[in-house]
Amino acid sequence: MAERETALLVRRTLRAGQQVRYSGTVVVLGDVNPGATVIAGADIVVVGQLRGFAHAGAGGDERATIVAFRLRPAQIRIAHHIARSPEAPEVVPDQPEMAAVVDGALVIRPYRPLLYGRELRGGSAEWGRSSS
Amino acid sequence: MGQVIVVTSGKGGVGKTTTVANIGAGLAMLGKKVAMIDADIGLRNLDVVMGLENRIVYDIVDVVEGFCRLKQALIKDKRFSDNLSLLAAAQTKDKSAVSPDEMRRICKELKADFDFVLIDCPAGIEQGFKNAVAPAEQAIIVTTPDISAVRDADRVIGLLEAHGLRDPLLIVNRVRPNMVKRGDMMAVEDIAEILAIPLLGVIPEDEGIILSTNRGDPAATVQSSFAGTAYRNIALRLTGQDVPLMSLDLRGGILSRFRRLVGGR
Repeated sequence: MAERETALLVRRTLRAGQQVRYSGTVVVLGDVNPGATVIAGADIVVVGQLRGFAHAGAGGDERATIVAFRLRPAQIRIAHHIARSPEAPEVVPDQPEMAAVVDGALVIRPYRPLLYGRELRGGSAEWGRSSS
Repeated sequence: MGQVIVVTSGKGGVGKTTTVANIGAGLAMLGKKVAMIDADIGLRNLDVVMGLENRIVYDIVDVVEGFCRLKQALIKDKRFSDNLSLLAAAQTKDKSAVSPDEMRRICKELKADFDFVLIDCPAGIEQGFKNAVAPAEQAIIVTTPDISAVRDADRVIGLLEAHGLRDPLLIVNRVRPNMVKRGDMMAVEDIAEILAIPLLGVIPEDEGIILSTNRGDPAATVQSSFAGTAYRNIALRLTGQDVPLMSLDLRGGILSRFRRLVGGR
């Protein structure tokens, strides 16, 4: 099972051909460029642009999420779910986004700090408490 | 003491050799003493681009194997009042004929006599790349506005960091302003954003380069050449002068840039 409590801090931009693998959460202070790879047992947070390949919950944890300032990856995976970028050039929203598995599908939504993990999965009662 | 600069790209055919020849010529025209090393052993080209092929007596492998002294192998280019010298690659051997330590030794010797030592790195990231990078204190990354070339450039920048070469400089070669304007070609700004290294210069696509390369006359020597001017500007920047980028007006295309020049901004 993934080590959700431990994190690896990567303080640089990952360039093409470079790879980071870690059993817990990976936080990148920089960009993940096209051709670079991040594989984490738990969550992936990119404080920059994610344009490469990211696999969160690589050990099978579907609760894992991928958050990036600009989420425009070639392909992302959470546990065994795979999503790739659309063929047509898409308009990437100019805001942080989060990828998560909701009802068995990998979805990307705008990232909202207060709703972290809750809006995506419903659970309004719990959300009501946390926002008060 | 001179500065050792490697010109590299990862991908082949993006203009490393042309860049070395033209920056070398540009610096020599500014009165700097420049040595160029062709590190592409087995596939030598720099001598042809410089039009010095028929003057090769000894090459870099002869120096390494002790058949001649380094000074004997240096070909002085008379067109640049002997400011420009070339150490040619061997045509017959392969990359294993030279080691990183031998490249360091050669460059250490050259640094004493020259202001700039420019190394023309072979394509790829194998032995030839390691040889070319070993003695370098600074790197120039050449890319074209193609996704594959930019990807390889990014990979090479990462490898250079692993070699302890930080903050390389970027040259974007063969930019076609009209295609960029139509959105059919990556803009220089997009490339610089991905690679996140300082931009040293932008070279416009120029048919004159093909002519001058085939003639063995670097475009930098041709005052009217657009690409030649871009290379001369790069040479000026390498000597510490602050020359504005020609590229900043790419959105307006070449014509409006001329108008702006004529109109005095």
